[in-house]
Amino acid sequence: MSVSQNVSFDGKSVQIKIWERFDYKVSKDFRDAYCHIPGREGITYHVDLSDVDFIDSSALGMLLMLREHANCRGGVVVIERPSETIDKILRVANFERLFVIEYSPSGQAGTDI
Amino acid sequence: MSVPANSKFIDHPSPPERGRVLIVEDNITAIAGLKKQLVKQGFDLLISQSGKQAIELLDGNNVDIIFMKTTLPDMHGNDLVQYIKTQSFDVDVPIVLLVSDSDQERLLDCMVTGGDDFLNYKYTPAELNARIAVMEQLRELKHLYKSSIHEQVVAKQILSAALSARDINVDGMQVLSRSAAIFSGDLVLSAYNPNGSLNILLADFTGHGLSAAIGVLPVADMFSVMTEKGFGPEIILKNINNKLYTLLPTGMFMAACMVEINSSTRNACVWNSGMPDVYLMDSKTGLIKRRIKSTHIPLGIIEDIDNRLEFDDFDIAPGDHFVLHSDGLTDAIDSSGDMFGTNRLLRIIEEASNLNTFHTIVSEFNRFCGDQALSDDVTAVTVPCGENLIQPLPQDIATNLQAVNSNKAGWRFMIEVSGSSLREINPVPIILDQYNKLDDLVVSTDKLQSILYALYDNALNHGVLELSHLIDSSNENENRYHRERDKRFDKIPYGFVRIELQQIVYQGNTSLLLRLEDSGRGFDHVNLLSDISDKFDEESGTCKSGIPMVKELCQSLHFQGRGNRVEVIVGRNQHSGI
Repeated sequence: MSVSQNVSFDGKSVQIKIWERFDYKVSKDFRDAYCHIPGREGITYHVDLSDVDFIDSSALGMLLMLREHANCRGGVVVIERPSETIDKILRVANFERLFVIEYSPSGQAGTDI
Repeated sequence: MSVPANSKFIDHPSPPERGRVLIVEDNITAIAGLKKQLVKQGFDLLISQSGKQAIELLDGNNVDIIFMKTTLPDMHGNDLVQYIKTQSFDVDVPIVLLVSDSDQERLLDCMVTGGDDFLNYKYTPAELNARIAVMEQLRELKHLYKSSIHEQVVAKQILSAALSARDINVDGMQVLSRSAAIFSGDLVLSAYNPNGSLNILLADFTGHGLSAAIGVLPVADMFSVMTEKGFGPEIILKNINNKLYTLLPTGMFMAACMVEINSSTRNACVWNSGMPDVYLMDSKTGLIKRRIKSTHIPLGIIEDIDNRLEFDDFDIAPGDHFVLHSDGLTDAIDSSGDMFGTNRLLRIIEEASNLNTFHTIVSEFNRFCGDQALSDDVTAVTVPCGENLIQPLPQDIATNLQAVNSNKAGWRFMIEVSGSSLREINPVPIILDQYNKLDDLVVSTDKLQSILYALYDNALNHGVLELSHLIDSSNENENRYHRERDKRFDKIPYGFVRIELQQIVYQGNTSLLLRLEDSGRGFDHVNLLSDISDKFDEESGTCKSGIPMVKELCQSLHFQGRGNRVEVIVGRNQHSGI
């Protein structure tokens, strides 16, 4: 399984974790991870990339779709702990202007914006 | 449609048939068994007892499924399978091999050659029906696949034709382009601005194949048309972004970099949104002179890209050259799983002599990839900034931007359009584009645009083309006006309009001085201009309604010479509403 999802008890935070390859093959799993959550406002979506070692442009597209989904419902997307390689790709696309990217283990400071 | 009288017997169901089956079999009993079942299922049958006969039957008939024996009296089953698979029938016909228990080895051969399934002679009716159902699905899939490939090939032809119509020949520019699918999501465009600069756009759409290629056409159109009209990179990129934002679904976008090379002023500017670094190679040292990183979000993601785009602006020398590439090049993987990588590219371009950079990239890349299928579109471009790159400008247009040292905040810009260029080139966007690049705009671009258009329109139509008497508001005359205007262009090979824009200090304020001169005969401005706003239009017939508007917008307006020169001063705070 390359995508997992956890919803917090209060339903305000969704943790999505992807393993190894974040590419077009996981697009359905990735979408399923946030689309079917009962319609709450103001959810924070944490996308954990710490175990991703490959990302392609369609994955960037998936992140943009999640961003739109979140924005429409007053939520935000936080990209967490990308590896150096993945971070470089996010930065070439200047995604730090569109997303909050956190480098330290979740919950701690280290926001880069 | 004829319905058999004894239609209660389902042995011979009425058409529509389910399709046609070819049986290739020399055993009468086996034929009879198949025939009974297939006819019951509504199939039309062709039967041949030899390979040769089968080939003849296939030649003149459409066949949907073939049942064949693996050993034929006159040829190997394998050869017949091969023949069927290599013939260009409308659609690849599914083949079911009929085998007995002792046929296992031949079965394997035939399956490898192209058999789609097999059936043991001891089949039950249910097994046969199951095979038929699978083959029908397979045929349907093959048909769909083939028509989708066909559609893509046709679409590709249309797209290529549209793009090649826009293609211009740039001296010394070389492009490597490999697609992972029929369509490439990578795009390289080049066009000359009438001011002589060369614009290059390298773009990479999300993904590849047909969906990635959808945005290619509008982007190519906007890039070429706007560049040729004289718009600068900033306005072009903003327009492309807006177009893609409305066109592309969320999640699809276009990474792009744009290079503007101005050989005459020895200057270039580069803008990068989501593409790998762009390199400028030094002609003398062969090393990287400048590396331009991506500083923007790719196009089509957000509605308004940053109000003032960040261009990296720098000097170039003849012989320098740019290297641009898509990430498909550096992310390519060889058979052992190694990546081509940025470091390898850097080593190649720094080690290669300037003249050889492109060929070295291509040969190293080919050596690296071998026959490996590409997983992404690959593009690499080299563009020289040589002196021979100097624009194939229409001969009779000259531009000149220079700093005026006597005035510390000053600058001056002059453009002259003459002869046949008058018909083809509108200098107003060119001026606005140059003006836009200045740091501190004395008046808004919109205001300057209104003034320039009015004055240029006046200089061209009334001055050079002398069309004043034809201009009136009735529709009827409009066609006549355009016909006449077209004719006049041919008659004025020596006509010109010269526009000069200068920053000056007027009455203690920074202001713009705008001068236009045309080759026309002018008019009696001394007598006619005493009350410009009232009488100008009707009485003289020499000047269109734009002039009173210009007078409103500026601090001073004077006609000079024989009436073919006009000088306008626009101040910073005049009528701030515009």
